[in-house]
Amino acid sequence: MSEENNKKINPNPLTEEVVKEIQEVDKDFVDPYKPNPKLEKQKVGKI
Amino acid sequence: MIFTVPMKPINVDGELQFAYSINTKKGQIIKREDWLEQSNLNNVEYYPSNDKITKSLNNYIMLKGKVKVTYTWEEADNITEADVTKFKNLCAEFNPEDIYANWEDGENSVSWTLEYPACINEWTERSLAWELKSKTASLEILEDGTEILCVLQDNFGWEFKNVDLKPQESIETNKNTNLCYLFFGDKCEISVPSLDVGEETFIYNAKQYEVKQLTSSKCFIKNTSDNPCKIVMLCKS
Repeated sequence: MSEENNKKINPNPLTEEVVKEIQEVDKDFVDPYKPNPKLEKQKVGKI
Repeated sequence: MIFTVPMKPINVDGELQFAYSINTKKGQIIKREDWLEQSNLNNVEYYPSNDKITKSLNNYIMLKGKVKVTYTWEEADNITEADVTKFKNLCAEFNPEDIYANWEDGENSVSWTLEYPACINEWTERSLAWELKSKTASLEILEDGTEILCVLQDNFGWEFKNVDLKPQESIETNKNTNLCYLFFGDKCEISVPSLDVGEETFIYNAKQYEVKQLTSSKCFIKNTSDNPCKIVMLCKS
């Protein structure tokens, strides 16, 4: 999150609602409590 | 949230995100600054007779090294000495590592330090299933090179089990649910006996920090590294 955006939104506590607010101004912000949907899926070996 | 532990994430089949720490340094920390920060709060489960104790919503597992976990509360949290005692009793009852932990009481806080004891000898439900419903909770790295695994789930409801294997030690591992993933804290060899009459055995190798899906009904996992190794199983029906 950029410093400018940080001034508009208080990220503490970083609740789900706050995460949504941040993502409205910073689409690259990732909720650290959830899997990153932009992360490339890795196929795992089966045993 | 404060998160200064460098992690390498792996998105497994779009189901789970495993993240393991890299080159940790003493003093690095993971901290929730408010209980409300956590995801899946609508799934939180309270201890039957105590609403200051909940099922943990985080999935941090120590693989190596030494950590300090601290719960800190404010007056509004209304946590009493009896709640802390109950919490400690639950840790003693359900966490095999608890006998190796050093507890410390502070003013409006309680903490424990633990050096990875590699003491879980059979497949066991994850430790730290219960935690205090305190405003903040933190995990601090106390030793360089400490290794932490963090698992994030898209859909709530995964069960966590774990076991510690000494070098060259093996363990029989059964698949009891439809979906089953294994995370290997170090190098392992996996033997899968064939169901055919010929009794052929298929051998697979897992690298350190690799994730594999267990689709066979049974396998045997052997720690082929020179160090104690934690294996973590995530399963879901």
